[in-house]
Amino acid sequence: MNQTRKIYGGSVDWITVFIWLALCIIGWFNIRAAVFDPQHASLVSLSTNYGKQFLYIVVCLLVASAVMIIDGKFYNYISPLLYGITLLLLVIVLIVGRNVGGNQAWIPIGTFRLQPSEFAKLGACLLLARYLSSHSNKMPNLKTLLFGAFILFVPVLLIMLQPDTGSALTFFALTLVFYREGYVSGQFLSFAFVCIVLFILTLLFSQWYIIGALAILCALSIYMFKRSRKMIQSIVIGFIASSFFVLMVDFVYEHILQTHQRNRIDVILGKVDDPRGQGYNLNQSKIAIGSGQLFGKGYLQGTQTKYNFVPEQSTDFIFCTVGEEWGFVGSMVVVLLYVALLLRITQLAERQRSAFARIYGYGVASIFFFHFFINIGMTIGIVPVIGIPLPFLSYGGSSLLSFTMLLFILLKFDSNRKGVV
Amino acid sequence: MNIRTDILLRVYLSFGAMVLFAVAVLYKMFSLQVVQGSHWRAMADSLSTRYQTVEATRGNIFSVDGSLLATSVPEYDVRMDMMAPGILEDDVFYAKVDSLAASLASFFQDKSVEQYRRLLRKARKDKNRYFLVKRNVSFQDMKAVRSFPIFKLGKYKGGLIAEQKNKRILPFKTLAARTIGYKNDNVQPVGLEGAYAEYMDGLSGSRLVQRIAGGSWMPINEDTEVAPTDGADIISTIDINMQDIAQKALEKQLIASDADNGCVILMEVSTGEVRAVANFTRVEEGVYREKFNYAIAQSSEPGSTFKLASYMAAIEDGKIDTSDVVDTEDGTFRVYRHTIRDSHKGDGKISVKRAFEVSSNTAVTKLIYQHYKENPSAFTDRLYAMHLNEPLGLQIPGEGQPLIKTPKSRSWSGLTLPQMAYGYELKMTPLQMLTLYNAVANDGKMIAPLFVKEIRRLGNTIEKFEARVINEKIASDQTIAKMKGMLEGVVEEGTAKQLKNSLFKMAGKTGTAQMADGAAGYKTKRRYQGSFAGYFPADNPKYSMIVVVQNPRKGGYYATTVAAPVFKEIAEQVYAGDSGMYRDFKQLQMASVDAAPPIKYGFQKDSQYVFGALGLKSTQSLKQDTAEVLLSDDHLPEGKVPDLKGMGLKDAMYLLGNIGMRTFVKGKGRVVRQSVNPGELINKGGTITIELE
Repeated sequence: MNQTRKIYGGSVDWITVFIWLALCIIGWFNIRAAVFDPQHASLVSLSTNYGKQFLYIVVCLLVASAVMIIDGKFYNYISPLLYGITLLLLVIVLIVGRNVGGNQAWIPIGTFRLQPSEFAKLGACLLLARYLSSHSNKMPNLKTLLFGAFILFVPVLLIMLQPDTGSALTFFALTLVFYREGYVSGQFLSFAFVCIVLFILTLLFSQWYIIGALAILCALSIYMFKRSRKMIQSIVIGFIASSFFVLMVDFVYEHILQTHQRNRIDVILGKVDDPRGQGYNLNQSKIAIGSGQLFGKGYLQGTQTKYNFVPEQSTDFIFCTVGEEWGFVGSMVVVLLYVALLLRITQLAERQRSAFARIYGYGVASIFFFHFFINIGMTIGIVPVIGIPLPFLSYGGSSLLSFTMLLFILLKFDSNRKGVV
Repeated sequence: MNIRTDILLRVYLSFGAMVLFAVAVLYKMFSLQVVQGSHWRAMADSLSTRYQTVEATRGNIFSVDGSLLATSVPEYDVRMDMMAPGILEDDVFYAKVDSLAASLASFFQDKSVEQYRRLLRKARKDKNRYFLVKRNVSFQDMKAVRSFPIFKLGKYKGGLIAEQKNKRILPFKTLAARTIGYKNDNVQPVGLEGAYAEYMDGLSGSRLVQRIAGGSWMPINEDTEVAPTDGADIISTIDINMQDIAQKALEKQLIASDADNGCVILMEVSTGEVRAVANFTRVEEGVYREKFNYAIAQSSEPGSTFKLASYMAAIEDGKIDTSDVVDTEDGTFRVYRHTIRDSHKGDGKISVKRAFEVSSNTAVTKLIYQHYKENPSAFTDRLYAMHLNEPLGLQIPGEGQPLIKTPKSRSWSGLTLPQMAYGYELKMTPLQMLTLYNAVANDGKMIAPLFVKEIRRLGNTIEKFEARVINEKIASDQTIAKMKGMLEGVVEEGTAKQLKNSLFKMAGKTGTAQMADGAAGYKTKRRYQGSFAGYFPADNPKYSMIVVVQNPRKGGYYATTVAAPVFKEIAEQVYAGDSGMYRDFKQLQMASVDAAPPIKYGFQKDSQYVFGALGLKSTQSLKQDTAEVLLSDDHLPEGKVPDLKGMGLKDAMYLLGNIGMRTFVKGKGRVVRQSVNPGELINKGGTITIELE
């Protein structure tokens, strides 16, 4: 341990490292199962996804070690530059990118492809931490909040141009950071909650019903609070605001969302039942996971994933393979590993002394949180299908590398948290 | 609220949110996997995969001389996986899809480039993984399709899915088509195909297929899981050359007579092997098709050809002899207020033999009536002893039932005996009649006709068939000798004098029967059936044959003019042997196997090495080293007859079938000669003979 202390300048949080490694290995085995072809059973051939993933894991090990060796201050200094570089890559991808499946999200480099949006999360997270930490001695104010939001908004805008809605959405996870730092109040949170409820209701029912129901509710409230003029005033304002919101949601849904996104939402909400059409992915995914039952079908025995029923089975839908071949028990292990990782990251973030490291830690936690639960949630049908990877499990060099760097930079901060970053 | 508790609260809320989500996920997973698990498992099983049968390749039917009469060739449905790995990226797909559309359009000529373009692009948009590009593509065409843009990326990457099916073809088209028959779903199988289906069908294999979007099934592996066992081959007794002769001769006569239908059967005397069966039905004037197997299926009143049986019965019973004199008077004979007439004026007093030769109805009815009227069952017993009342029990289905009445029959009347004597009030199929004539030719040994000699699987005989002996001796040697003499007499100086030739003798009997027209009987417009049954060479019978022509409309209806000429033409050509009637082979310059084929370009050393390795002699005239080796395309020259040398029969037949040439085959092995030179312009529908060694 003294040895590692010397090299990494502090104590490494091995729990996190073990969870990380366990997830990578589980990922590799499941990618192998997802694309398994008994005729080409070689383990590390670079022509297969699992062969490549093996290479990526090795690269990540090296990068993780490098991250731990570099001085923690470096990441603070470098963050504006890193942010700038990721923005530049996001611009480049729009010019020279390869269009795969409708998204211009990849920059070809030799036989490999780089996905800049994955690295943009790292850049944005670091810069946001730097910016907010530099204001951490002041009271949270709107100006800082807006500028912080602006840091997130620029990459989101560039990613939306690809258009890769899933990746863009992940940046909104970083709002959790604002919440932790006190930029978002409890009132705002309840306001957000009302917005979400109204949003879902509007999608489910006709907008005019909602507004009608709101009107009745407000009329009742006004009757109840008829003595308080101020209350009536805010109720009326609230009614006008929510009616406007409802109309806007409907407008966005009908005119701004693309057809496939609308369809996915419809399927989740149960508005359409179409297992062969738009619900195909979700239905196949549910069949795969559900058919795993309690103990799973056994490694390499899954028929749904093996025979390409489930689309993107080694990337976005990798959890199907877990569910099918390892059953509820195996999936639970994976989910618990993730929960443990999340709680550990939050814990690590909380114990940081520097605001920069703490805010960064919350950023990492929120990004992982969003990926875990959106990804797993979509495969089991509790959230709409949004194409984002499952950290460490999904196939893909860019995402594996960026998630690893996100995590290990935090571990680096943690390892010398007693020093000043 | 103090800041510390506020922050703690926020932290706990964050923790709580994570745990809450985790619990939600676990709850949903539990309900999916454990509570509804069996439901999803059942769904997975039903949706995912199933076994699909893979048809075994049906066995071939060969003629006795080794020609391929019926075979199965592969045919493909071309489909495309629009999401194949090699074209997953839009720029790759869209860069090439237009040239793929152009290739498809120009190759198949069934849709315009624009139509293909639209279909392919739409399929891509729909992410169709099993898009049907084209049905029923031949093996040859499939080769070209594989080289199209995108498809040439390879089986897996290019998304090309070629699903093989088997298609039945008859290389000789109409030759013996009805006897070869067919076996289709939902249709009563016919001919050899139907009769030997259980041998030829083989055992289907199975293949694991998976369901994909859109409800289609796609094979999971390129190979089948349970390989099908291919069907056995049938070696029929048909001789393709004789079949061709018979068919041509019959068709010519039918067209000339504008007859309703006709059939010819040619049979080897000693073995009962049927060498040719031709059946034609009139479609319109001058157009005949093989539509019904009259030869084996049509029972009808034979008329005078039956007199052979009548005389044989009476002679065998010792009632009459060939030299006995019978008075034909004026050619009429009245019995039960019914007058039996000869087709010509009476011949007065003539011998029995002469009466047979001139086919006198009066004589035969008079004789049979006179000798058997007291005891008609003695006559019918004789016929029964010859087994004329029994079906032959053929190897192919659909044999017509013979009908020979006895005095016990309900429809027996006083007129029945005299009517039967000259071939009425009884029914026989042409093949049953031929069997009787064959028995006479075979010195009294009656054998059932044979259509299939052998069943082979992968070249090994698994079953051999020999003709069933119906009756070792249908009559004494003396009787048979007398009958033979009478049959020869018909040709020498009787109704079939025109059959005489200087090369060899034929024997046989004409038969002109008035055809009953259903319920109307013989009262409507008269329709006749002319037939000739016999054998050749008369001295040492090798083949027996029957020709039946029904309802000729032009140029007379007598057997002498409608049936006998067909018999003569076929007998003479068969006698002359195979080679006498075909175009002579053009003597072609053949590369003999031990000489090197000419090399146009190539390194001398390399070429010599290649020849050396192949054991070929190479000539020293190879010029100086050449810098490059040019390989010529092995594409067939458009519109030209291909060079078939060295090909196996199946390949050659296949190529010739594709270019629309009628093919005759001689010998076995590999093609060594072809009657039309390679490179000559194809004459569609023309004939070509290939010789194999």
